[in-house]
Amino acid sequence: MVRYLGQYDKKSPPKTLYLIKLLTMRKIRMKKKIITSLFLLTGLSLSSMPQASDKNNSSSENELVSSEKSLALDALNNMSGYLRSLDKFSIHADIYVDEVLENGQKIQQTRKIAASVTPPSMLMIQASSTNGSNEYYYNGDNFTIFTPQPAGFYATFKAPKTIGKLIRKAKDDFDIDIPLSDLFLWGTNNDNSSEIQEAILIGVERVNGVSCNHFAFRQKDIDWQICIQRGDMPLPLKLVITTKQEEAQPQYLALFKWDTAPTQKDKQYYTFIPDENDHKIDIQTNKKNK
Amino acid sequence: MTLTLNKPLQFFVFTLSIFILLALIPQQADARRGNKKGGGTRTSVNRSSNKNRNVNVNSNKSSNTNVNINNNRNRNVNVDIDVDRRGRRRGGVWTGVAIGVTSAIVIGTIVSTLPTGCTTIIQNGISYQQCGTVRYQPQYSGNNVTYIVVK
Repeated sequence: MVRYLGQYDKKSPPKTLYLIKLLTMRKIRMKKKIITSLFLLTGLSLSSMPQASDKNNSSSENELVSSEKSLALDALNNMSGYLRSLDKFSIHADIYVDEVLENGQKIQQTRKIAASVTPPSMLMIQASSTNGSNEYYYNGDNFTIFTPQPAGFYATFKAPKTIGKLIRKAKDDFDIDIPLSDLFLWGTNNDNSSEIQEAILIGVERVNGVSCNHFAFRQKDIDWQICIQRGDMPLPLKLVITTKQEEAQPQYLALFKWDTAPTQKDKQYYTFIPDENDHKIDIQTNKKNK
Repeated sequence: MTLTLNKPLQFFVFTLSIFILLALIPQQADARRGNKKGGGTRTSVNRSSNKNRNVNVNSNKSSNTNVNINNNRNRNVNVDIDVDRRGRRRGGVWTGVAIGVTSAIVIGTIVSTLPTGCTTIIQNGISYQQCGTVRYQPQYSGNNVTYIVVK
């Protein structure tokens, strides 16, 4: 059975027809634009006909834009709801991040991330890059960051009760970015979807062989794109973030592989236990935020 | 006549040599080009807080990884200028300038990478990295381990 966009959300009606209509309308809109510009070129722009068609065009276009935005936001909400409904999952992510050199040159860095999650309060992440690797352990009580090389360094702090609050505390107090934080923040109080100014549907794409709906969003500081798996498991498969504030417009690209039925892991799995060669070290605090 | 002509010429050549030197100095700045600018790339759509991000402030500070290296530079610049004026006159000026750049290891300096050949030592329960005569204390600055010179 072929499944379509938005089918996970039981409340909303099937959007297949709407989607087709939308894409068709976009084509019509483009045709209209071409026709209008032809009129202008042949010097017929002074006649009343194109003006009337322009008026109709802009009102229907506005309607289209707003309905397309709500369609995209619905799909995003749908995905967020699904993410928050999972009681356990594991992810493998390939991350490509642009670093900008002082001369403005962009250098793409590769990171690999493996995460095991038992919401709402257990998380283990292994992140590796050319610059080294880090491990993150959160068992609902404590959070530990561990760096195996060059010598096993780690630091621990007492953590709040949920992953969402942990992400906030790690950032605010210690300037630590928990990798893949979006996957834990969508559908929570820290979801910033309200900042989305524009949203469009690009079309259907395949990521790692899986079919997904590709959406593009615009916010004040960033443009971003997401590809959400089609069918009854609306998982994000690809995320692209473009930083507009930077002159070089660096990008962050993440490709996700999901396992929504991993083996059950106990609290011990999420607890960091140092071995004799590991050393506890200090962690700089963000004093100015205190 | 010869002397009055030579004075401004020498002054000119001296000024020229200073310009050449100044043109050579930015080599240091060029070398820095390879350094990372503070990571401005957003890696998440949702900000966990409304506070301004100040990611990599610390790693910026630590981008000087040449702490243990002494740079001593000597540069000699020879400028010969031939001036044709009523036959051939030769006005030659030799300018020798040595620039000495010495960076010392300052306690409190933060670096993001250690030199090779360091050993872990533990004193009063605190872990240090001993690299030659310099002792570093590791610490987390955000997601990264940085090293502060303590001795």
